[in-house]
Amino acid sequence: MVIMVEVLYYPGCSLRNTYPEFEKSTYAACEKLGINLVEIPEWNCCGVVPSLAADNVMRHLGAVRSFIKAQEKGKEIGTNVVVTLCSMCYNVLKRVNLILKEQVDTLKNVNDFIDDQPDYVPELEIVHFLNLLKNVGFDKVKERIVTPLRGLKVAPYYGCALLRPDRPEGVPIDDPENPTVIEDLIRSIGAEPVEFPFRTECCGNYHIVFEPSIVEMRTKKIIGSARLGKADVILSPCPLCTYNLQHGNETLDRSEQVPVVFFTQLLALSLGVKSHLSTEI
Amino acid sequence: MSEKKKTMATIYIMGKAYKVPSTLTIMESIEYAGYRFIRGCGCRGGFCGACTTFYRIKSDYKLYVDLACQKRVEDEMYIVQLPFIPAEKPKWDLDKMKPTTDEVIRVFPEITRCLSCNVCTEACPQDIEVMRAIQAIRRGDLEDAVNLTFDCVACGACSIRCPAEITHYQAFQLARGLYGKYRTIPSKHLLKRIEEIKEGKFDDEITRLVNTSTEKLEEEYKKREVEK
Repeated sequence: MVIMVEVLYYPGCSLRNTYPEFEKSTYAACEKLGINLVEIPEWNCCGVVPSLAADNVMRHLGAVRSFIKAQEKGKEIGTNVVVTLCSMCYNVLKRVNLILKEQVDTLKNVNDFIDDQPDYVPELEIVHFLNLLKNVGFDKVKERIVTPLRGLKVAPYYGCALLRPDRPEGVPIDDPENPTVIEDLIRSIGAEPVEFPFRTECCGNYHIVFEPSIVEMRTKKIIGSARLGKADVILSPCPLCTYNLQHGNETLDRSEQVPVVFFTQLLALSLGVKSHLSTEI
Repeated sequence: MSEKKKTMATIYIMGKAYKVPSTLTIMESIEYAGYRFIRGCGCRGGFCGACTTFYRIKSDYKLYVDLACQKRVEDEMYIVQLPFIPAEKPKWDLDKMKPTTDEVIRVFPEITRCLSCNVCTEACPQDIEVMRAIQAIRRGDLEDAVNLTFDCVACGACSIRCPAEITHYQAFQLARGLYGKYRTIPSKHLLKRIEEIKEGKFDDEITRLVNTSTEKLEEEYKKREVEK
């Protein structure tokens, strides 16, 4: 493999335990694209939900401990870029990092508390894998495609964690109202993006635990909207959205369902490497 | 006078001051002070985790945890023992489980509440990296968790300090069980021994022991060959 880009990589618990196909297809695609993902040693769970209270620093510790490991590994390989795939991990890591960059007192608080590790110097950049591809260049991605997915109609689903909130500034990976990055990816792999109005709607998130009916209501709308656009498949960037959308599919008739796959699976498929797609799709 | 200060230490057992020789362990010093252990004593060898002791030292804000049978007393030490940690032991059946993180989380969902504060690690008298092991389970790396927690004596100090109310030592027991059952190579001599037991190779020996009088057993015990 000719390495064009070398970055630190934060996998997150969902990829490791629930959706290995997301991670495996990413590794396969990266090898083709010359992207070297260097896993952060002994990364911690990101914390799942970021603290909304300004003074609840405890909630940031999981993210910061991973930042410290990343910072030390980054010194070895000479990078400050941390790439992550899971939307929830991205959201938490990005927000905590931005808070620490902006708030000197919070940074000091956290560093004082974590007295068993080196201090975190907030110089890491948290980047979502989609934006890493964008930075590498979708034209470069296109050059390496061996099996263009011609004629495949793909519904780009963003969910919320990649686009919201807009405070602290810099969280959204794209224009929150009119994102295009997944569409750009779909075009680069030779498929056709489907326009559908529910692409940035929330899937219902953790209501799946206590009130699944909320998730069913929302995902039915999302899947129905994609189906009206004649989508063959919904492209998801998020483990939780995928879980919820698949739950929504299960409540629908077979004829009304639209399969849900991770964006890296179609990317891997078009690159001619193992996509880890389920045989049913 | 100064010499005497070095040889004796003042300790506080549940708030009451005692002067004890500073060469004693916490456990010995409590006995020196006149208490008799009926619980919280255990093996006296640093293995069983029954004598978990929390203490502070004057003018030091930190809360320390050690095993009373292992830690030597220090001057101005405020001591309390926690011989029992309230925690329900959930039941599980290894035969019906898979060696995955999801299975551990199913039995111990609270491990997902870990805040990464690392207070558990600071509390561990065995110097186990407790938080790191919990996070290893979350990462799906049972092997790392198993290796990190091999020395756990299940004293429960971590679980008393945890803000997420995790019972770490129990989760580690499950992780080690799953890993041992499904991921390690079966030990041939153990399988052979189990067969031998099933075939009744040791039945006569056990029956003889059960039917031997206490006096005779004591005599045999004294004459036993000690492994060198």
